[in-house]
Amino acid sequence: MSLIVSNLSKKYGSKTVLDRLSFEMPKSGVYALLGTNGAGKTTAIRMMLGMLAKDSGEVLWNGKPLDTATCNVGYLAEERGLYPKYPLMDQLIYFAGLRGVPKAEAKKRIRYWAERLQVEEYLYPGKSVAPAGKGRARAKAQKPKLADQLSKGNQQKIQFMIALISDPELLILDEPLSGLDPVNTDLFKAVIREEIAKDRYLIMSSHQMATVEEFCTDITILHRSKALLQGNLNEIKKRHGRVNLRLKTEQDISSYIQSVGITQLSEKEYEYQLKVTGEDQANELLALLIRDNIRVITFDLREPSLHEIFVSTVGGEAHETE
Amino acid sequence: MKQNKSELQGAGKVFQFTFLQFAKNKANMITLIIMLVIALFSVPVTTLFSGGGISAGDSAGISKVYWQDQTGYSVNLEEAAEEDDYFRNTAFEEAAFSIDDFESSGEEDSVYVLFSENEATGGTMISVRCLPEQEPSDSDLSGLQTLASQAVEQAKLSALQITEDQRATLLAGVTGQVQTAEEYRDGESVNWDVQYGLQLGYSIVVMMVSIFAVTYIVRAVVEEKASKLVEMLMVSVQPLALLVGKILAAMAYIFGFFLLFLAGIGISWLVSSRFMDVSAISDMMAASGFSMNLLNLSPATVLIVLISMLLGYLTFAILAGLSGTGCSSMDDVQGASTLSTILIFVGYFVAVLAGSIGGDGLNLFASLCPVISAFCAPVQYVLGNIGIGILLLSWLIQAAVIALLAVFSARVYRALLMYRGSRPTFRQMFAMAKEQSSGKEQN
Repeated sequence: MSLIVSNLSKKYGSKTVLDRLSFEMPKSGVYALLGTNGAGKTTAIRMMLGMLAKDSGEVLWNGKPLDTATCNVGYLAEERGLYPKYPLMDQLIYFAGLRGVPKAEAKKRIRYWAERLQVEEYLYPGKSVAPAGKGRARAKAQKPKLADQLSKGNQQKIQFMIALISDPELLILDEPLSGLDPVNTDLFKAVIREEIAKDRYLIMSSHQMATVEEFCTDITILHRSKALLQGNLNEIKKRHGRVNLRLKTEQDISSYIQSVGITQLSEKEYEYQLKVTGEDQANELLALLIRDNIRVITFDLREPSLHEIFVSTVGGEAHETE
Repeated sequence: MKQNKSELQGAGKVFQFTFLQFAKNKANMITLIIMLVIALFSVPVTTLFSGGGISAGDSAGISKVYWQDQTGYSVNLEEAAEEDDYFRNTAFEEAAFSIDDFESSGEEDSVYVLFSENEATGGTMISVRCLPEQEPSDSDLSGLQTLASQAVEQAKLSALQITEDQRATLLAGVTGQVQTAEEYRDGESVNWDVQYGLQLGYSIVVMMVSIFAVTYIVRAVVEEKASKLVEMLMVSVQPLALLVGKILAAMAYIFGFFLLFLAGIGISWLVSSRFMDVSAISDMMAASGFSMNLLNLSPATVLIVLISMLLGYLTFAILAGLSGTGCSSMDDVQGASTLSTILIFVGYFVAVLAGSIGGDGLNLFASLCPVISAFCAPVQYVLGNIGIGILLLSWLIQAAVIALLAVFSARVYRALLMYRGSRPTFRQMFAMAKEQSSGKEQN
């Protein structure tokens, strides 16, 4: 199986919202679409799924145009919603049915995901014991919950269930972790890891660079409708080189840093974040410190983080994304 | 855009889900229950208000009626009562004592009827006296009063020595009919009241069905958009299937609703007729010149009405779907319904006007013009004002309009579903359709 996106373009009037986006997923893995607000990520996803008409380009799944009727796609949209006044179970069975999952099988899968995502109490309300006068208690069946009775996080879990219920081969998650508390973020991450382990093709759009870095093998950074940077994340990092130096000492070493010509980004209690030109410059600084018997507690020379790559790629506008 | 099978794939699931949600909706349930209660009580209430209501199986609770005639017309109450089944268990006896002695001489549960001359008017006075604390029921007294009046009328006519036939003619009443010379030449047999009533009744039904449809469909479509569900749905189902599923679900619900309402009236009729004399309703309809024969009720007529209603429904439903898709929030629901509602009212008023004015030209126009024809064509056919050829042409025109609307919807529905902002104008919608057909389309 493979996914090929080539020359995807979209204009609204004279405004280009996506300009010749191309990328490939020759094998299963996680592909990240990154970009500032309005860069074209969601537009690209909508065009891939046929929700928006393309001005040009094509999306091929196994060499054939991607068709959601034949390709089993799971999609968690950025604009999330549920029918506010309909029972959750009805909605899940409906969405499963639309993806071709028979009712009996859908019920099994709903049970599994409800347990996995810890929302059983909303889908399988039991009986609550309520006092019924004169000291006697009576069991009263609780009504199934409606979507508008759930917190935003729990609604997001139901939506995630909808995306996963068809056991999709291609899973597209648009900002999957936005708005979640740390506990639920970890829960979602664990599920995403499980899906990756099942050899899914996963496309993720997110502003949370640390999350993307945790999962993705390949990325595209979009800015103002254009793909500014694309490729394998490790290779991109290698290209940038090991230029980030974190150095912790027991005394002030500002003069040493200046003497070697290293850029100091920050300093807190003799812990320095430095930007070096390469390993040679970092080693030169280390040699000076050893020579003068200055005690070095931490010397961590590493490649730039995705966050740093993103910021350096899209420039000053990136601060909007966080 | 090519419309193929996959465009409609999933419409069945959408239909099933939407129909169930319509049925489970509390407001809809309450409306249904209220309408069913109205239907179940419709026949007895109408019967009571139209002067009927005396049970066909019951008889009067009066054991004996004493009567005395002082009019000089030889009124015979006993003879008149022989034809009245309600008084079959009541004995009638010409009184040998005066009304003043009734209290002392009358049997238990009896009444005294005195026919005398009304000196003030010169007419006849009917006095009914009851025993103390033994007053008969209102229905017994009402029945007795009617019977006594009939007896006086019969006696007066007999005094004029007229025959039975003449008497039947005199008592049959007068019916008026105003015809144009054209109608007279054409041998028009159905009076204006009936034509107008039939057109009005049918138009009201079509209007109700259409307004229900517009309301349900617009709400369903806007709810989906406002709940930001569209993207999740469009991964699994094509926009056209979403629209078709909703239209069919609303249609099944509304038609089911009306069928239940009609069934309720039928049950009400069947049950009421076992306990009440419901002939007052049929008498009332007959008095207005209406008869079931006029409707020529047959499977063919029912089919014609159903096809016509279906075509009208589809026209307004697709328009409602389109209008609803342009909305981004529930606040826009009313605005979205406006266009369809205006068209429904235009169709209704023109149809009623055509039923009122009549004339070959207007009937033909109303039967062929899209939107109006949904209200007019089947009625005009049943009344014999247009032939089967015109009816078929009317259906053809309506089907063509529906097909055009469907193609237009298929082109713009996807774009409209993704559209955010103020409600688009028709110009914007046409621009969307043009863009879709110019090749800027997926796959």
